[in-house]
Amino acid sequence: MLTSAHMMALTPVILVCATAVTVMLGIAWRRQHAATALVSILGLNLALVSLYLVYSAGDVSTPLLVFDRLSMLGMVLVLASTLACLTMSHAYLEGYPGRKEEFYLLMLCAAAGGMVLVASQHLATLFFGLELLSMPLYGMLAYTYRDKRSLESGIKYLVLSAAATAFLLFGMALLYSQSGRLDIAGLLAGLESSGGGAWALAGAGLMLVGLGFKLSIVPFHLWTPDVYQGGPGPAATFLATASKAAVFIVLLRIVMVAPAFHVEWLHTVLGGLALLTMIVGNLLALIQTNLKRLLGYSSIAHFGYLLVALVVADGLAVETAGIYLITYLMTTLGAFGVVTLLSSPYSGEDASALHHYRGLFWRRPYLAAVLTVCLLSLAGIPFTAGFIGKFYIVALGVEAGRWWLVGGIIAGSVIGLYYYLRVMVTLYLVEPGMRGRDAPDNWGMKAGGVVVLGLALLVIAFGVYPTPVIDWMSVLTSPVH
Amino acid sequence: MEILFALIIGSLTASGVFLVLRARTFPVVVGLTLLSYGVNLFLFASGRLATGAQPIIGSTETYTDPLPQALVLTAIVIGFAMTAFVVVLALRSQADTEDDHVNGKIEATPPVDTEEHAEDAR
Amino acid sequence: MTLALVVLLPFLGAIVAPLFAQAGRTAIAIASSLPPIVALAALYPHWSTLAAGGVLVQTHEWLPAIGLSLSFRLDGLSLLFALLILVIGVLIILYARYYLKKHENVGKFYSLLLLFMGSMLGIVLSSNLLLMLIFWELTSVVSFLLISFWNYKQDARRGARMALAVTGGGGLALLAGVLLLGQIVGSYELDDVLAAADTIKASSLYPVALTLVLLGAFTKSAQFPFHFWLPHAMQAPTPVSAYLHSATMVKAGIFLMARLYPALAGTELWFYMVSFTGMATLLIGAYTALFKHDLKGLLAHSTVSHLGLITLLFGMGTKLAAIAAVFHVINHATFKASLFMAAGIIDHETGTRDMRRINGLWQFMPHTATLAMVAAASMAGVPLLNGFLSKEMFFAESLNLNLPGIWAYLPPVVATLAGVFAVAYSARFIHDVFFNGKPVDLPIYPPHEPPRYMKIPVEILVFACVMVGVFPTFAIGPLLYAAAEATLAGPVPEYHLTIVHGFNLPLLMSFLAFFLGLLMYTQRQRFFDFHARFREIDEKAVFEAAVSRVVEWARRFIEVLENGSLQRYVLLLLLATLAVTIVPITSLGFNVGSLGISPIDLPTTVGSLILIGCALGAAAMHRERLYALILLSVVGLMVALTFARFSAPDLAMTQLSVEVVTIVLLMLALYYLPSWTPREASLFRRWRDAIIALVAGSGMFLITLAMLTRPLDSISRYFLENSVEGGGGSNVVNVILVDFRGFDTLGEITVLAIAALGIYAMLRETKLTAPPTDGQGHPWSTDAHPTILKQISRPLLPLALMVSAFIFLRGHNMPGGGFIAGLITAVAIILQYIASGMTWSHQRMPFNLQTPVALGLFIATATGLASFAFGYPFLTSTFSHIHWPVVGDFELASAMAFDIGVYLTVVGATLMILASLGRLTNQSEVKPGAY
Repeated sequence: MLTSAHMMALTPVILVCATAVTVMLGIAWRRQHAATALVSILGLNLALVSLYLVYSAGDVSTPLLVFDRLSMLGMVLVLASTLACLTMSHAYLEGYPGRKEEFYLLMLCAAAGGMVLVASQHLATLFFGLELLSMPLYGMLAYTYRDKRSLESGIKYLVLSAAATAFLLFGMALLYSQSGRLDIAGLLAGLESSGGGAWALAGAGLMLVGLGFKLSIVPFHLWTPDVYQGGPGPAATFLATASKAAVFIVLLRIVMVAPAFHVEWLHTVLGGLALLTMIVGNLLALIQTNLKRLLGYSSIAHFGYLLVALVVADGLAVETAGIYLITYLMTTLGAFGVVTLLSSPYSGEDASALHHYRGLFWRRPYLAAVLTVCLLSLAGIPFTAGFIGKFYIVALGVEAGRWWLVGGIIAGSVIGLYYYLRVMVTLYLVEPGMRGRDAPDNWGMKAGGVVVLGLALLVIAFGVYPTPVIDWMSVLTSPVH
Repeated sequence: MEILFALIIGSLTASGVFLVLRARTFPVVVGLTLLSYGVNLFLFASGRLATGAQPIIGSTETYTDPLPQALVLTAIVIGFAMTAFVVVLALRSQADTEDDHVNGKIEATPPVDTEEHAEDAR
Repeated sequence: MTLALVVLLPFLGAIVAPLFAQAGRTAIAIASSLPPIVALAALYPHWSTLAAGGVLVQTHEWLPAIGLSLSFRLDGLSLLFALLILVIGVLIILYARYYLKKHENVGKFYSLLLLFMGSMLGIVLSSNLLLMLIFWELTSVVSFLLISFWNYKQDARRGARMALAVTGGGGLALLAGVLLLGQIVGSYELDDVLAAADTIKASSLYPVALTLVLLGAFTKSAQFPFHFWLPHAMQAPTPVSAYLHSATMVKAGIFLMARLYPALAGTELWFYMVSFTGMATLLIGAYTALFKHDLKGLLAHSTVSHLGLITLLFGMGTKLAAIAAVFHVINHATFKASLFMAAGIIDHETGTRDMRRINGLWQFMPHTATLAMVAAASMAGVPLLNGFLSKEMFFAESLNLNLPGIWAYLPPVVATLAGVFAVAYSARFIHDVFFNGKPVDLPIYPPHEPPRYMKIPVEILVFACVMVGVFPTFAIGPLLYAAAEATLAGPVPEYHLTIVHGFNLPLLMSFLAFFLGLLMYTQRQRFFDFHARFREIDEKAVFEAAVSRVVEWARRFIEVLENGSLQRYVLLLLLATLAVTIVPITSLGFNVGSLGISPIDLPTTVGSLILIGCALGAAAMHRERLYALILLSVVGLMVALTFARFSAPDLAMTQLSVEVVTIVLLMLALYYLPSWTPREASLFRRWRDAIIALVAGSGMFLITLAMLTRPLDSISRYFLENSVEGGGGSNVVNVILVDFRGFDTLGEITVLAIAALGIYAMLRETKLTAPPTDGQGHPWSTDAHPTILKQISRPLLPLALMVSAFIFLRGHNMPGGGFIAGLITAVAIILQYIASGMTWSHQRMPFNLQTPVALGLFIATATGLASFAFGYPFLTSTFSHIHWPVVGDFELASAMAFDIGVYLTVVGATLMILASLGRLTNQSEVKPGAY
């Protein structure tokens, strides 16, 4: 049964939902773009503040949701990413001829879904959190439906998601039929005691497919580049950051909680997927000439690295995953943010072809600098956040003696160096007569511009002095049970 | 009985998979619906089959497993929302392209720009 | 603090220097030379400590969590390298002032040069391996930027990328190696690592760690087979080649080997890996250098060869060899940097670097020629120059190796042979460039001496060559001793820096190399002819070919797998899922479990057969969409019956009402979509899909069968036992939903609301023209709202509302509830829309549909909050039973308010979805904007 402590713990989720309801009522009453954006941002900030209070109150657990440090981490990541995406949406949607306000509503709902997902400790909440996260995304991706690519990306994501959801449910049913439980901890204990190896593994494998699809793990990644390229900038950003972070956290929870999953078969499968993901992601990124597609493949590759934490799944794994996730989010938000800003205000297809970025430095030096920092960080160059993340992941692989994975990370990173820096050099090429898409003159004064600049500074700050985050992470992810 | 039930799920899955692989939106929608029926029945079946044992206290002697039923209820609703969404997206695509092909009618720009690499390969 | 400051200074300079770019090249050169000069001054006071064998370590905490600290270390070895970096750096800054043209981006150049200087100083002064690694990666990146300084040149961009891929990759291997060392030792501090030498060598991970560390060193120092990047890095401006790619950066790998020498060397593995790599590099570099017509190409391959020599010396594992290696580092840096600068002057003054065209420059620039000739002589190992001394030591050491049997001859033979090549290419450098007839159509003619100050750096370095060559003990003795002491981390054996040790075998080898080399040069045409018979391997072409092969694979991969076709993706998703789960699924054991098969009855059989038939029929007839839809609705109905048959009345009702709404939705959609699906797929494709479907279906059949017949121990007993007292309802499913899973339901209706809103937003401005006829060509009926339907449907509404009220109220105990009631209401209302038209219905429901949705969500959320406010937990039922005449006993639970919220949301959302579609219909028949 629920108590006031539970209620307290739920405050952040409720605040986000309340913001969504407020926005919905607001839209029904009077449409006002700026006000809608402001209310949404305010609500998310309130939720972030309340999260701090909840965090200091300690762990709370309900039959469906658990508010421990891991879910706090997940919620912070989801909320912060949503906040960044939302801020960037405002400038982006300014130019959108249709209705603008519903976009915020959808994003808020998706954020609520993500928060539920990271806190779920029951298959029912996991399922519906995942759907609550995905359902608005279909709408967000197809939001600028006048652009056929956007519409198509919505359809693709939806149909494939439906198939993936079917697998997820299928896996859940198999797990239930073996254990008779739906809460994750009980379920795993049930599997342990019943010893139904094959059923548990088949169920786990299918659930892995369902979640791996959302994380675009190779070979379930096929939708990623098309959808990233087609969807409007803020939606693609959300998909690459908040959505992935939430799904990864819940996957991490399942793997960490489950001794039953620590069987050689699952390790082999996860390891194989990780290796495949980092190699394929990086190789295919190599040939992209569309920045959004390239970032899509690069995000695939980065989740390949992150999977290493799941394969190792002990000791520093959670801390490593947390740190890597943070560095990934900062950097990806920054890089996608630049793409979004360059495409703002909306005027048809996003400015994502690489030739739009040729000589960007000579037009928008600061924006080019931001993108440079983000690319360096994605490549894992020292003094950027990406290096810290890479360091932790390699350290984890070395410590666990997973040489194949370490080799994969190194090989993948070498390819990464090659294409990230190729893009970087493009930014500085002087090519008279080339005029690509451009950001509005006052981009730096807009909220989205401030966010992007802030993210770049954060990437550097974290690269130079990550101690506060590392300390926070080691406290946050150390189990208290 | 179990064989019949398994046959139902099998035929729903087979039809659903076949239709999802079609090239037009309408069969895909129908296929997804069939597939979701199949999955829902399977989920339901994970609580095993029981006759006359509805989980209503006092109505019978034995009760079937209510837990999967609750999950299926959620799944039905979400499946419906998804179907509605995909139908609408299909309609939009029909409105824009005068065609209900799943891949729309975007001129086939190759995802790879050959220019740069052709130049590099030279 | 001083050491950190020394490293920091160039970085500060890199920020400040570009500010002087406007003030001209001289100003920026002076500004840039300040940081290294100040750094030199800052290092000077420590010399006395170091000369006495002391070590200076300064540690500041940075990231204790990962073992990374800002600790710097100054000992003989790091001092030696720091001096090379700083002194040659100052000379290069001066040289570049004259080398760069006025219009070039000098600000960027000097900034990057200083950035490089700082990173390189960081490497040699770090006392923490992780810190060193950070600087190591920085040098790779800055080197990339410097090579591609002229980024409008495609060759420069490619050379830069190749260098980065190789050295950056090596750096990552080094990262893994360092992490491994740290794991073995428990610290990344150099002192700890060096102290733990025995632990490291005894560790089972030693071979892995050694390989990874050496990979880093070999790639950076251009050792075979990674040597190919260095010649192509020569696309960089010559000051960069002189500084990075001969004097400093390529020595970073050497430095690493020297630094970790006490910790890693002295094993057989080290000996074989390092010395054989060195030997191969030494020979290959020297041989190739002979045939390069490009001045810088010759110097680059010669650099490769000398780096191989130093590596070989380290590989030998004897103390004297290590000392010789350190000595050769100094000598090579001095003569090679001056040669590169001379080559740059020649390039600058003649406009070409092709030795077939540059001839007889002695007449035009005797001063430069003298300097270059002295340096080249040192490269060849002519006595009285520094190159001779270290080469003698190398020859001597090559004789001291205790290899078994005939292998003992290998090192001296290789050494002599490399010496022969070195003499030959040095002779070519001297003779071909400065003598050998007249120049052949030079782009700039006649060439003349460069500006006075451009030669000063060369003069200083050549002077150093001579000084060391003639007075070794005086010029370099103390520094070399300190460096040797630091390298060996122990007592330094006795060695003699004298010009001639007497007539011995090494001297004989030198003479042999000298004469054979000159002979080889005079007979060079034969060798060129011989060499020309082999196809020249252009490493860059090979590398680029490898890259484009990879690109080609990737492209093909994308063409096959990621062609943008959704069908393809679905197919691949299915197959991938199968691949991942095939192992456990096949081991499920597809057989009937212990429960056995229960008997069948006739109605169930008939129903099931209808279901199966309709499902398969829908697939078979999918091209005729209306039939497929009808069959689908039958399937949905039968699924609902199946739920009912197997004790799930709640599911049956939900399924039924959802089914109705779905079919209405699809009917509306079908109105706009073509009613036929054209036959597009090939026969092969249809068969392939059919087979896949069949496999999936049979798989599901087997799994289901296996699952259904296995016993299950469920937690549901808990819910069954607690339902009445905990939730106040006897319908366990509903109680689970509302009370135990209040949030789930909340979320579920939110999902529905989102779908509705998304759909509403998306169809809001859509205009679809309905086809004028149906699929068979019949025109639509002109009667938009048939009277009979109108008359029947209107009384149906209150009836349907009553039914939904009934179902709503009894929901807690009997199957029903807010959700199903909502759907029924929605269907009833939508029937009015269909029968009487949008306008009619809308006049009677004059409110925005978003309102009930928002209101419903609000109520559902607020219920929880309210019960909380009254001191009850969220969504707990507080109930009091009320007897109701017809409906029966029901309790007024607080969960009921929640159910009202659910009801409102469901009605609103469903109507919104259907009405959005219906409105499209309306637009085409009634006047636009009626809604």
